[in-house]
Amino acid sequence: MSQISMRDVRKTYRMGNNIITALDGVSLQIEPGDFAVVLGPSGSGKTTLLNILGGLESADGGEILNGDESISAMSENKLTTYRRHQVGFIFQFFNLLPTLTALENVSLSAEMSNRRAYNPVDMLERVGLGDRMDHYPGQLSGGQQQRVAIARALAKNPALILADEPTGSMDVATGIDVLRVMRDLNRETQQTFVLVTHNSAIAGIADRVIRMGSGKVQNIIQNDSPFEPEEIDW
Amino acid sequence: MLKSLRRKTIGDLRANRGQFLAVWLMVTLGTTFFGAMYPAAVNLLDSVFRTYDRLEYMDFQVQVDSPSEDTLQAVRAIPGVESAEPRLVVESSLQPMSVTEHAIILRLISVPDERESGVNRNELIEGHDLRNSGDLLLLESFANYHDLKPGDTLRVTLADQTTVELRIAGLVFNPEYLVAGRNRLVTFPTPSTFGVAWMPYSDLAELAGQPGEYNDIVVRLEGASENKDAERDDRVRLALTTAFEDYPDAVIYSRLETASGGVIDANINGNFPAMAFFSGLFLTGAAVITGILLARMVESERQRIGTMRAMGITRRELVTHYLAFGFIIGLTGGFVGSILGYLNSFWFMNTFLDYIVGGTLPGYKNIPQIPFILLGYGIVLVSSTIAGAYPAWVQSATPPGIALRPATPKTPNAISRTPLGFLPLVLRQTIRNLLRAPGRSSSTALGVIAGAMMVFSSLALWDTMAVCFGDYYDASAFDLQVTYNGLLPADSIGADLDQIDGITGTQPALIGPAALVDADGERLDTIAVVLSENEPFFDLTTVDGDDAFSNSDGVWISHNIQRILGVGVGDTLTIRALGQAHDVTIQGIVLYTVGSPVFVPQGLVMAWAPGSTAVANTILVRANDEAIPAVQNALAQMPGVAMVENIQQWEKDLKHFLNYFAANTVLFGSFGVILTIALLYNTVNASLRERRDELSILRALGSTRREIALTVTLELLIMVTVGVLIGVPLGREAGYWLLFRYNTDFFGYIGYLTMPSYLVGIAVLLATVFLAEIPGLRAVQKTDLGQISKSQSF
Repeated sequence: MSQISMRDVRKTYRMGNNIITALDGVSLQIEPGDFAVVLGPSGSGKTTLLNILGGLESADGGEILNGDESISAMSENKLTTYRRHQVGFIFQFFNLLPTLTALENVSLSAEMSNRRAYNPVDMLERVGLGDRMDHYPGQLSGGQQQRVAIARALAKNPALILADEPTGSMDVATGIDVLRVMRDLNRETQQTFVLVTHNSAIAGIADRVIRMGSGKVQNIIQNDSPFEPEEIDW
Repeated sequence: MLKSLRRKTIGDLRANRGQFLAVWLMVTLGTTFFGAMYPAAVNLLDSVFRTYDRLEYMDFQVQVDSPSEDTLQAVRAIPGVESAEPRLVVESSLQPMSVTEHAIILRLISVPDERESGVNRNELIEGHDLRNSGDLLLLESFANYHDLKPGDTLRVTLADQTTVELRIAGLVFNPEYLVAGRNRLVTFPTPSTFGVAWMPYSDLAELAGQPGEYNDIVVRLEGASENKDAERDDRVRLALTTAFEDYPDAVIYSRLETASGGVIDANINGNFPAMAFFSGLFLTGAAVITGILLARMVESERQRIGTMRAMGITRRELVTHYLAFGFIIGLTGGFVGSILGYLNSFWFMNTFLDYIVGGTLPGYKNIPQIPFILLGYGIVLVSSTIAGAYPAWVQSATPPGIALRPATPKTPNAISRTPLGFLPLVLRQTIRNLLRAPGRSSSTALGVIAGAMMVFSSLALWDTMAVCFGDYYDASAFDLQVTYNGLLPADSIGADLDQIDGITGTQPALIGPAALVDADGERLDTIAVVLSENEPFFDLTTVDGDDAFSNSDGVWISHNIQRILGVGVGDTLTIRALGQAHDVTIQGIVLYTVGSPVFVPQGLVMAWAPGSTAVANTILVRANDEAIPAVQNALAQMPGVAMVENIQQWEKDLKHFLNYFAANTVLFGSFGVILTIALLYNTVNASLRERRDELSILRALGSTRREIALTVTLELLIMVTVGVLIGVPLGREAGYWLLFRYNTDFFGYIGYLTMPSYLVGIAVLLATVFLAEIPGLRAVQKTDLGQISKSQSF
């Protein structure tokens, strides 16, 4: 069974008198343990796709399955529960809670989940922040904050990790570092990662590359020999 | 300002008209109340003084039997005395005017036969002046109460039981009865049982059988009432004391020691701070809300400000643009509020006239207090302009490149990094949230404090009046008070009352003037009440909650005496009455709001003259409720009865008088609650708006609505607790302070704030805060979570 299955998913927005089609009959499948990259230019619908997968938005039509669970027709409360237990988010601007330390940010996520969560301390050590646990987000660099965000996303042991331009606000070295952490964790935990980016260079590290344009899936490429992050020609 | 920016200002005003209207309303309301209350107090004082001076109101009154012509001349010769006039004052009984009415005490006061009074002149309101024998002039407020008109005939019974018919020539206002209080024990108007009329001296002296006699002298000093000269008054008082030293029973009252003068003075003394306090509080509250709302609006323009700065618009142009919002609001809101304030001041003045004065004040004028109005207008204009300009100045200082991006998270300050590992995570987060933005937290707490002050000062006003007067009403454990024309043996005075159906109990009492002198020689002229210590009909409780009259070893004094003379339980006072003087020990302080009576057990009086017969001049009567009117009429017909007081009617009259305070308190309280709701709503809402993205992140991560509401509520609860802990005592003390400004010799409050009021007040604050969080939480729920993945602003 696929981890993610989308069939004929549509989403439109009204902007004034104009109707913008963000997703126009998207169908795709992502297998468990995949490290998938959704690639596309600005306005191609990739973030909308991610938001719908994560239960942040609802689709106008079509079917979306996470494992055997349909999220297409979930109520607001069920979507909240879905996000709480099934999905981990990694945002472009990290979005850590500034009044919590790195450890507390990760703990909060672990405490929320009803799954068998990882030890927050282990997670922070795993992302290389064992010596920064008591630091607040404002005291960490961008790369370090994103590592905390990764640890937070993984700590509750969700089946699906969604990352929206996780390296979008970083320099090359930091970006590679973050991707390395994500890739390693993906291999180690076998959790499914879906990463959205407009940077085609990143596509090389993915097991599966979904290329989007004008709200449609243009092609899906299975990559049997992905690069290591350090090999990316940024 | 650039032309295009001017157009943007107009466009913004149109686009955000709801918000602007809310700010405008706050500004207008604040200015309205500011411009209404204090100026009303100023105009009231001026109107009263104008009335006093126009009608030559007395500065001193001397109650003295048969003063000699030499003494009168000596008084007139005292430096500073403008005129002194002898009068005859006779208490009579006005016979029932219909089957439903009862006997009323009518005080008859003489006026010179051939000329107008030089002191305490009458102002004719209706009818004509005294022309014929048998004419009298009746106090207008009393006449209106009983629907009496010029030309009506009154049947008046005098002390010798002769009854005469007198005709009402005209209705008059007299400054001596501006507040028609009877004496220092009954300082409030009781028109149902007490009226005043003026007659030519020769007519009155003949009726009373006292030709050539006077028993009262009224003295007017030089100068206007507004130019108080305490030193001169002291000198005159001393000279009067010397002039009357051969008259041991003479009692000298200054204007402030008379019932009317004292009550008016207490009102004016109390009104000024109350009006100034609430004027200032409302204007400050409105200014704070305006500041919060405008700051919020400007802060929401952060990215637009960045754009405009990026386009090369200078900071000065930006600030000018944004201050225009506040300026327009201040200019128009202040203008409208100032006009409404002036119009509203008529309400404050007319309430005073209707309830305190009784309808007419010849010197009434409500002049716009231009400097004060301009002050309020200026404060509103400047504060609202600054409220618009300052946040724009701050925001425009951010480099355009940064302003165009979402705001970056702030590094928590040192305080908010305090280790709180011992607390659960949710509490840790709550406390750090409060500590990390001290400005936001303290403004929320200040909002609650200000709100609590407004609500609880009003509640303290209300409770203190309710408890003090409630206790005062309850103290009279009888239905009717019968006053006789002279002293009678206590064991026989009520013997003939048994024949009246409906009476369930009687108790004789001796009630009359007495002087108290403390150990330092300070003297207080007051009223003494002597009655049996065995089940007394005055149900008095000490301020400590004990019963009074528990023994006959000493006296119980009202709390006003304690305050005025500074004496306490166990101290010794000298009591002078009926030509005797005795040292007495204070056994207790009783709560008695009106007057400053001293309560003396009959057993103590008997101990002063063993073997003598107890005397009384009053009977306190208990009757079946349904029989009270009939009993009252029957009592009025009894021989020797000068006056029958219906306690229920008395309470009704007093409550009418107190409606002025009740109306003001309700107004202060209502507007205080409105302002509190507006203040809290906006501070809480602004706080939540600032944190909207942060709370949305929690939602995106899977926090439920309940969890988010709990987090926010917990923070607010802490803020409310802090606000309540500080604001409630401050508000309570402010309320007490305001009420204590009304305290005088014959009127005094002890501060009360009851438990139900605490609970109601706190519930109002809590409800307001929790209602205020609803729109903010709804906004979080409605946030487009899809945007969260691209946002970074906390």
